[in-house]
Amino acid sequence: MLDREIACYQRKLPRLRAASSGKYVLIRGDEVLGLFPTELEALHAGFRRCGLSPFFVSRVRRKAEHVSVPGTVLRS
Amino acid sequence: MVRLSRQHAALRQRGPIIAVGVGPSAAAIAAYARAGRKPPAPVPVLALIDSGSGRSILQHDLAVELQLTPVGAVEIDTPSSVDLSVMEYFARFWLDRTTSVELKVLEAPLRVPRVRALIGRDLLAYGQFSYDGRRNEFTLEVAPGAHPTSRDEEV
Repeated sequence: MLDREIACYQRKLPRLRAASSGKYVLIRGDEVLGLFPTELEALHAGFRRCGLSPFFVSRVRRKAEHVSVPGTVLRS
Repeated sequence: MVRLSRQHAALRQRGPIIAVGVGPSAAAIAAYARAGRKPPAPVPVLALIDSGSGRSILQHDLAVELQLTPVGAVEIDTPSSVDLSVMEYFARFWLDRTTSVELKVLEAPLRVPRVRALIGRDLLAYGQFSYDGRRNEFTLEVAPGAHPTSRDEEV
């Protein structure tokens, strides 16, 4: 799920970083639907434009996001 | 402002666990209304508060039960694998009947018995969490209207 959106994001990331670093990108399929100043605005726009179908929201970052999740609570 | 205070004799063994409701976000509920469908009701679950986690987490079966719409994916490390890709969802945590916080949460397998959600620092950014080991007591205060100052910082 979201394979197309993730591939689209990675493909367009260099251009997004150059023009829109720090903003939140909304992608459905192979299409960038918009850039937003906050994650909340991007998520609300996603539900407005895509309904209940999956969509992809991510911050345009200089580096990949590092998620801090404690191993003690995760089932291996 | 909601203030949840709990005292457990086995707090050290079990950790700070509270009962919350988890449901779809307001934006998802609006999408259900536009589609002429009834949204899933919030599900009561036990949630472990873990300030060691930057993000809040839901069990996969809970995301399925709530029919949450995937809104992202991110890679995490687990005890047995690195760069494991997991889905992200926009969900609402109900702390009492009237107080809720909306978060973009992760889906990951939790190994704490009966616990179906983990409350991380993204939700704690909305309030204050205190742990009193001598009294076997913890308190969570949340003011949902206060926008977390650290939410949009580049890490």
